[in-house]
Amino acid sequence: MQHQEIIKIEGLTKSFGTGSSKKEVLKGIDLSIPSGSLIGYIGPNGAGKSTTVKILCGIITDFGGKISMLGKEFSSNNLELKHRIGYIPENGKIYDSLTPLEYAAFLAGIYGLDPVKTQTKVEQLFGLFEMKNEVNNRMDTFSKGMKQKALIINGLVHNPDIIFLDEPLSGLDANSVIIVKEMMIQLKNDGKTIFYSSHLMDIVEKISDRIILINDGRVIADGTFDELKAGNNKTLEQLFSELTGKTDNEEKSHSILKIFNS
Amino acid sequence: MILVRPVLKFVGWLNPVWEKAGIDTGHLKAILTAKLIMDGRREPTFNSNRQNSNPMVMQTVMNLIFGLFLGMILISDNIDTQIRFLFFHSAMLVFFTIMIISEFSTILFDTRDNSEILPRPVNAKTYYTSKIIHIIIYLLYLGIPLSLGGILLSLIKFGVTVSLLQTILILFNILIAVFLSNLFYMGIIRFFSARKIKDIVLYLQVFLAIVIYGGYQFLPRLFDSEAITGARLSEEWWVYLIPTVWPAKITASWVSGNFSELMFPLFLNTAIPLIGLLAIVKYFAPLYNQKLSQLDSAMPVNKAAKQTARKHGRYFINLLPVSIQEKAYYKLILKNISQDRKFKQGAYSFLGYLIVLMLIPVFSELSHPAQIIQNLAASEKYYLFLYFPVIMALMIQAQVQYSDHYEASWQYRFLPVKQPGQIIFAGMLFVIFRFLGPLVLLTNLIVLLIWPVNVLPQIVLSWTLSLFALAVITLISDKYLPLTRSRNMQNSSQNVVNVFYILILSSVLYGIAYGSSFLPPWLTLIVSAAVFIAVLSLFRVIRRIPWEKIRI
Repeated sequence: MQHQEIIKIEGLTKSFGTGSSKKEVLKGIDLSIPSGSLIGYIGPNGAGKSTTVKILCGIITDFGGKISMLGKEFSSNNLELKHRIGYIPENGKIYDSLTPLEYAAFLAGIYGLDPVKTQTKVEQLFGLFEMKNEVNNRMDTFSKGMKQKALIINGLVHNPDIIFLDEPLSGLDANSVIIVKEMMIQLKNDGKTIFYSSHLMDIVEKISDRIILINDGRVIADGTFDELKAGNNKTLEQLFSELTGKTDNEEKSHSILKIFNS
Repeated sequence: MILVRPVLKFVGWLNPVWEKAGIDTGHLKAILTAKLIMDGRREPTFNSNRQNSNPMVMQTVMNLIFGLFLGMILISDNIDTQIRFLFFHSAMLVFFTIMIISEFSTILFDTRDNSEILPRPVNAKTYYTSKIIHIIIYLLYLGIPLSLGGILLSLIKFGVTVSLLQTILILFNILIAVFLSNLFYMGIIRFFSARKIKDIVLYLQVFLAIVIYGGYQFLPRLFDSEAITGARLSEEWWVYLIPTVWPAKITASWVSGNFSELMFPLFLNTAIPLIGLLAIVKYFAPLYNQKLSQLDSAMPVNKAAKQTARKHGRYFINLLPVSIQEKAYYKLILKNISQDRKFKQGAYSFLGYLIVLMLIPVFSELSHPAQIIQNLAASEKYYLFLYFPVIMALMIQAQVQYSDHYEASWQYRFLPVKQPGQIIFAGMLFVIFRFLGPLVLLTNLIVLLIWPVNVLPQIVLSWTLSLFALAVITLISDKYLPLTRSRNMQNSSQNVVNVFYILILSSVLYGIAYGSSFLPPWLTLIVSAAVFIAVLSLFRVIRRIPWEKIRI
């Protein structure tokens, strides 16, 4: 099936600080993402994954380059586009002194949804995550995993077309990881576009139909898992080490232990 | 607490106005509802059985009393009518502005909004308007008790219409305060980086907290001043540049029945805050969103500069005969607290309050500076200077146990710490090197500049007594390790006990110091040596405090 381009990124740059403390986090990212794809966006710590996601969601507003979504130029002021995107952060600072139902009412107000229907929906989703009894408790009393589940539910409640996930599985128990994984595949099958940023290689390897690897603010590999393997019988983890130039991991672990023992 | 429904109903009545200004009323309602609900729940649930309302009630009572006091000027017949209202509205405006900057910076710079608002389809105008309304709601809540006294006294003095007029003018005063403080924020946001904004706001809050405290202390002294009783408002055009001249002129014209002079200040008083706020929402909101997003971003820090600052603190500890563990604990406390904005805010505010308290007796008569110094030299008020650093240090010592990252205290339990007393001792050393020492140097220098050199034995005695007081307070207070308690516990009864101890101890110190002034200098030095030996023994006891005595 031929999918049309839903996100186009050209020469995306971003730096923090000024003068001698200036740090270039993104050094020119070019990407074209077709609709209905599940993109695994991977890279080492500090590579620029979260920064990319935050730019694409309108959280970071000053950046270089050009982004278009659904054929329209993306900027933080483009509210029409913002209606169609969902964002699931990792440990995001949220209004966690609200209860999930109060939070659902807030989201309903923002997205122009029916508040009663939205609250019912949230209640049902919490039930599926085995948290039905928590809907009237404040989210700041939740464990890390419970909070993450709340973030997942709230990020999808307005049925967005493009979903950005930044380490969404952080703190989830094994069963919830399976549920979310299946959910992502199902959402993709339903035509949603999923941009999944993570460092959990095995999951990215299993669910992504395209993997983009960034390192030091640049895309260093882009393709399906099979394309990246190029006929080798390697895991994504091994490929990741090779592509990021970190093939001496075993030696490093020996050296670390040596220092500890000295 | 703020009643959410009636407030939202009132905001809803103005929907046609909001819509005309390009504000999404649905979004406005959703954001305000969430924010007001959250405001009512600032304390975490595990502390919900605590009496959280006390500080708010206390503040309301304080504002009522202070407002009544401020309103007294309105019934002072020996002061010109315009000046009375000018003074009253100026005081109100200053307090409202200070309240905004000291209490509401957290509303303006709430970085949770980065995840909650910025990725969602909320326009910048709506978002910023929600913040302004949020602040105005709170300002009304705090400002009503403050203005009640003035309204009541103008009712008694000038009748119903003038008191009603005052009520309306005070509401506009609140809008002017919001406008002026937003102008100020616009300035710092426009010209400074996101990282600097946090620091500027912190130091400004400290400064303003001191101004409020100083205001409470010094304002009563102004009432007898001839400068006020003989003052008349100039008739030059430029007086209209002062916003509080507008309500003063409006009321004075009304009282004198001179209605022709009422229109121009009435126009300024109504139009400027409203047009100004609209302009700010229109032009400032997009820039504000951009800066807010930067506040939360990980930005590189100038590490070299920070390292140098910390080396200064490490230098002293390396000279002391303390264990490697104590040095490590000291450095840990130093590094953590050096980066803790809330600690700095509390510590510097204490410092400011104490300086104000110290200056009150010094400037008890408002005279020429040379005369003040001459009078000081003839008095024995050097005690105020000599023992001021230790009071400050005692206050700070009580704060060292608190941290926003108190959860990290598991490390103390996990690590093989034999003598937790060493950690408490390291906390005490931190207070000595970072606060007591520098303040002692400064105040001793002032004392030596004003008083003759024969106060030296008293200075030496003050050093040893200060250390003695610190050691005693450490031993008699509940023993918490540094950085192990949540700041939410700060209002607990233990703090009241600590303040009580500090007050008693300060009185004892001043008593000893006063008594020692009758001793010959050589005897004062011997007493100092004896106190120093006692200090060393107390230090040893502190360092040996076992785990059984440590509170978690």
